[in-house]
Amino acid sequence: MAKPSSADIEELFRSEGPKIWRALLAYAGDPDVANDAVAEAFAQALAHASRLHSPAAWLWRTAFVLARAELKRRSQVSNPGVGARGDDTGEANESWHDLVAALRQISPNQRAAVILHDYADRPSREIASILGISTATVRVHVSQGRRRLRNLLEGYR
Amino acid sequence: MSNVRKEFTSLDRLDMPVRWSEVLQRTPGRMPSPPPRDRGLVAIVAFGLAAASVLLVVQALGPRPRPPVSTRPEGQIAFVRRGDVYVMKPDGTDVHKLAEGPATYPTWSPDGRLLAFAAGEERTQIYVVASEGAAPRRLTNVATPGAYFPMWSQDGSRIGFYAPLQGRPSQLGVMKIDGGQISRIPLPFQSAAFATNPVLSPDFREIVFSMCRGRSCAPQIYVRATDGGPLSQLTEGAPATAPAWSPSGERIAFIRSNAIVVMNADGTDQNVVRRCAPEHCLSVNWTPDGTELSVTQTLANPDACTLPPTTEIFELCFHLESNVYLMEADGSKAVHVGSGLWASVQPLP
Repeated sequence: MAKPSSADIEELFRSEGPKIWRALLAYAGDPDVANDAVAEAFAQALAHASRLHSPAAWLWRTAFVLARAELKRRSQVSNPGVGARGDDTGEANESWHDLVAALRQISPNQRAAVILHDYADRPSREIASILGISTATVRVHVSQGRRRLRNLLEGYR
Repeated sequence: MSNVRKEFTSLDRLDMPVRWSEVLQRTPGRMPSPPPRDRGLVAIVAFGLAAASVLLVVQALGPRPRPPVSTRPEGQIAFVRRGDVYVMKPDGTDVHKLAEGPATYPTWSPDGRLLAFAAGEERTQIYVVASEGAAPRRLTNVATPGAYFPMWSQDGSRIGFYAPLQGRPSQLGVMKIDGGQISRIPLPFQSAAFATNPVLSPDFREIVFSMCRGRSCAPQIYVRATDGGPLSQLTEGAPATAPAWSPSGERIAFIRSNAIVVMNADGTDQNVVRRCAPEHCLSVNWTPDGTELSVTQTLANPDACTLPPTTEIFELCFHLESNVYLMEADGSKAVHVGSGLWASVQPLP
């Protein structure tokens, strides 16, 4: 595969960026974290474009790793937990709020695994790479996370 | 019962507020880097956890293992992609998987018939697989976290490896590839010592390796008899890595300060024979007759491999373009003999 150019990265921003951002919003529950992680990941991709073999996979991984690091940093600073700040999107009381509220009640790894698997359609091996766990553990997290999420969402209705 | 995938469709109504112009204006690095995995992994290793983490630790902080770039005589390059072991032709075609991972550090045997690699999730072990493809054969059964950095002896009969053991001093191991007989060579430093590139001397009596101690890692070259005995530190000062025995066993080539250095096997008479700048030294090996050196260099800084996120370390490294040079053992008459990729591939004569 040819090395991506800046134009390729821009094209990926338009095609993949919104989905990455939505996945990060669901994961972090905070638009600020999602905004910053997406912008940073694409800025890094632009800076290192010539070294990227699979830029889309790289961007998904980088954005999630950055978001996880930011959440970890914030929890160390103020321990706010994952906050669903839906108002910032101007779409309060939408159904996605229920989804994010339910997601914040499952473990971070389960949350990331379910989002990356069921929303982003990333392969298990890639999810394992992002989370630093085995593919077998990814499957367990997806299965358990789905079950918990279904139960939680049922409770909202 | 609700369908989880269907629930996620509610997200698709949201518009991303980030604009491309923001990306263009952004200076990478404004956001805090991903978790300091390197330091975290040092702690992990120090406390004897997570076998697979050891490799990343050593990559990040330890003496950087120098997987050389080369091809088999038939032209195959072995590399790791997303954990699995693949081979391909030098032009990038005919890519096919040779072994399932998660695997690291595939190295060709000197005759190119076998590929050794370290693989496993809970405990990493050394495996070999035939170049034409077959079920990999496990060679080691080392205690957690396992065995790493397989390095072939020059005759291809033995493999040296590094075993960072939990709660005990780390070891270097030596084994015959026809099965059995593992020599264990304990390292003296109980914690925070990382060894890479353990290479047997041609007569199998000694093993040379690069090792660092403590968090402020400045790797140096050490040698130790395979039947025990004192540890000899051959270098000091600037970090020294990637040692390679000459076929006669009389000299050792290694990398220090982005230069190729050749010394006597007892550490005396150290001479810089080649400076790699403006490129970066990646590896050095001897030709079978010991008269020439094969040096792999890259224009990209291999330290870029530690760019965040560290999960990209292999993918980034693999795609660094590299150049292979052949030269006299004194560094003269260097000629460019080919280009390649920095894959974890053992060079062939």
